[in-house]
Amino acid sequence: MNYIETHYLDIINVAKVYPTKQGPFIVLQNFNLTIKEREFVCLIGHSGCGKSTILTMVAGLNSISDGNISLDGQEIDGAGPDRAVVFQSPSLLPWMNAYDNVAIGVKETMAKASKKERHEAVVEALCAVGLKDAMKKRPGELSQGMCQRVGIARAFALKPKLMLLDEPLGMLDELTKHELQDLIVTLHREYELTTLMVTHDVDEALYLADRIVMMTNGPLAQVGDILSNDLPRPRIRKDTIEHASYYPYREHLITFLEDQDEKHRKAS
Amino acid sequence: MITTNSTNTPIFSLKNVCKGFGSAESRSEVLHDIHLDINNGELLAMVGFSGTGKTTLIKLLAGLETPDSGTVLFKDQPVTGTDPKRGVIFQNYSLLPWLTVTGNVGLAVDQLYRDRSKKERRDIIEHYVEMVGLSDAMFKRPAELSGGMRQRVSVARALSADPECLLMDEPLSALDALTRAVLQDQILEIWREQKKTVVLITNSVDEAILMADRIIPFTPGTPSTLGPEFVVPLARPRSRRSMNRNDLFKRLRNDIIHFLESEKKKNQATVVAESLVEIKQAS
Repeated sequence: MNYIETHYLDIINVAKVYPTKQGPFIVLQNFNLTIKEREFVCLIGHSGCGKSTILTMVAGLNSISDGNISLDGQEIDGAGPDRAVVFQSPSLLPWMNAYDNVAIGVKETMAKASKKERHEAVVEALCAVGLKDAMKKRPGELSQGMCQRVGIARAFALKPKLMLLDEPLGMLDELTKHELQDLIVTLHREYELTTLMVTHDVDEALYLADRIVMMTNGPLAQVGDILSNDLPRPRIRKDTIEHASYYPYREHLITFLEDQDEKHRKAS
Repeated sequence: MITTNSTNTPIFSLKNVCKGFGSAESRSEVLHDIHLDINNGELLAMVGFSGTGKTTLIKLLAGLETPDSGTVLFKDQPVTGTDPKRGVIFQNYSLLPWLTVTGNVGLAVDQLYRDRSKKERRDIIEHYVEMVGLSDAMFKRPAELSGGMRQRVSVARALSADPECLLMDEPLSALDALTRAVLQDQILEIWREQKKTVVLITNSVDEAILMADRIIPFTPGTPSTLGPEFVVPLARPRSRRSMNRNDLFKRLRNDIIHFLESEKKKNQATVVAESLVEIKQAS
């Protein structure tokens, strides 16, 4: 891998500061993280630790107070179609069917492509998330899990350089969550899109990620620890949890989070 | 040291219980052929995904629903309606928004201790509010409380009736991880001290293993029935982090997850894999 590939996403000395009447409030500072091309990285930490702040800064939806972020050698300046985001709520337009919800994004990013090519991109994305038979359905006719599949398809159809997932499964019940984790594993195996995902679920992180970045509590949140997750791929849930490294990894992550809890309790 | 309050006489006994909703052709069965004995004093966790009739089962135990067929016995007597001996805690707290913490707990106390003086009732209320750690928030209304605090009010209200068992329907599912852990510990503490039977419905395998003497899963899909029981052979108190080094824990956790996963797969085709094959063939 050349330098650009090993430093595909490069977050260097990033800080986020909000000015308040009591002086500057520093959410994050000296945040450094480098992600390789095709790598899947999870950010975990407690609510309020600034995980989503990082993600939205990478997305270009939130300004960077200090430091810089580059993707594929280009410094990030605002939002762009090379980065697609899936949020906890899929934010679908209720009057449009699944196909049209995905097509909105494709229309923008593939403006120069033919109608047929755009159509194919939309259909491929919807098939990939298992919604081949639900393309004409509106969000109101779909379950919460299916709506989130549309959300993933919409991001995925852009064939972005970087997928940004902001707790996309946070609102789903356990069963649907497992189904969508399986979907994300399959999509990553087939398409190898570089992915940065925010989650607070240690089992989710272990199932999906190549590396798990643990964040300390905010304010002044930083990278506390990084776990290289060498559980073999392709990942199959049954084999993954049976693997000898699974529970040691799990203990490592839970210990980190419990220590952060401790600090949080002492502080408040 | 394995500590449990459990003895071997069942407090609940369910036989051949079926329950469905709707009539005639539109009837759909939610629970099918449920057989279940719940031991006096045990902490039983029942794990299941959404839509598996978990709430229906709690309602049957509470006497808020009656079975279509089969019997639900509480201490050898058929359950025919609600009874203060069986306290229920719901996920949505069910607090009255215009009443304070003491007001909400007082609802139960005033009803059940009508023969006591105002002062005595007041003391009972304060005792239970203190037990759940809300003494500083006694005069707050639900809107001024966090989710975790609201659930504590509902725990205090259920306990104030001094029930023989607590039926908890996903009491912690709506809370964030940190608050959830704190309340898990608190419920365990109360269970240990009060020696009540607790039936805990949860969607979390980890919560079940951390808390229960015994775990019974619901099979996914409708109608749902009960899977095999899993006895939790882990000493108490159980540590969330060091359990990961315990082989019994790993085995048990994997077995339960495998059970739920394999049952789920029986229920549905693997849509995703199929459509990916189709894409590949098309391109």
